[in-house]
Amino acid sequence: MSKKMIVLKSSEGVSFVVEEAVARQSKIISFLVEEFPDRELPLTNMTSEILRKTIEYCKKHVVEDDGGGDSSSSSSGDLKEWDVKFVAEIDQPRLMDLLMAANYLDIPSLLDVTCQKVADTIAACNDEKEIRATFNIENDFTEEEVEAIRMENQYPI
Amino acid sequence: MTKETLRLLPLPWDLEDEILSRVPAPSLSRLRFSCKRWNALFKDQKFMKKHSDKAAKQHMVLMLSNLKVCSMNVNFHEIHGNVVDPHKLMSLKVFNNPEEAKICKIFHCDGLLLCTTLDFRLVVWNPCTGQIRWIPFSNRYNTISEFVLGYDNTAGILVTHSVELLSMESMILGLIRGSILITLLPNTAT
Repeated sequence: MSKKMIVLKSSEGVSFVVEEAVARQSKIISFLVEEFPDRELPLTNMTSEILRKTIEYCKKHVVEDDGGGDSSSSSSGDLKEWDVKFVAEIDQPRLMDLLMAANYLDIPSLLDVTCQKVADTIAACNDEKEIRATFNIENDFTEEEVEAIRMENQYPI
Repeated sequence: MTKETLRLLPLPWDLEDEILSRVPAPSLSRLRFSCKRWNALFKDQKFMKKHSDKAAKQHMVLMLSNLKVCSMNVNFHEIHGNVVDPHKLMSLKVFNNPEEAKICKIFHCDGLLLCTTLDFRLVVWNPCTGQIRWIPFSNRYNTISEFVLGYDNTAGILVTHSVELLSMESMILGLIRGSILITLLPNTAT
């Protein structure tokens, strides 16, 4: 039996033919496929690059449901390792785009790994200055306010 | 379409929360000083609950020594062959508690420490975020008093009891729950 394929279209109009089981990891696509079968789905706010990455992730994570089920499915440990490598290879601006895509398409496991990677980047910063520089955050504290928080945290005399 | 830096600000707030709730507890305190919105999260019960659910649990070894609390890092990468250099194996960092607070005993729950001090005061302390709450219980216990710290599950609040006065004294605290496990070592100082 041949597998059912669906077509996803990126913002640049590039079509990606994907197995339905792969694409259905997105709850949004899963819903759309049922509502509009045999239609190509335009994803106007996703670039081809990000869509390709998202599909790559979904292909790896699709649960093989071919009856046998022992040969092709990766063990969860391998999959975790693969995830770590997957997000490590993406540069930071694209990581944010991928995170947004995971949120938009509602793919919880992809959202989890991308959020974790950003959280780890925050944790790797040495102080608040480095956090602000890395994430382009404006310092909206006055010196007095910073001092007030520090006092809050200190042992009173 | 490429952006020059990684930016969090254009993210919807719920996504920002998703990310920040995964920052490991020992790194949380830096977030407070980054910007006002992030600082406000430390008073947001919903965010704290989320952090407690999502952030990876980490072990932190604490030691009470000379009336001070130290965190201890054990670095097994420094063991070569069978030769161990104790200075490299364990690095001690004294927590930032000034001379005024000399800590005698520690009771812990869920990453929070309940400390008794030499001058008979009680304080609950989150060593990761640095948040503290003094408990108005002063001078009403002695050196052999024991306390417990725990959660009232029905109300979802932090409660501390004196073991001797279990029914009489219970304090309600609004401290955040640090998502780390704490192992306490016996006092090794003489």
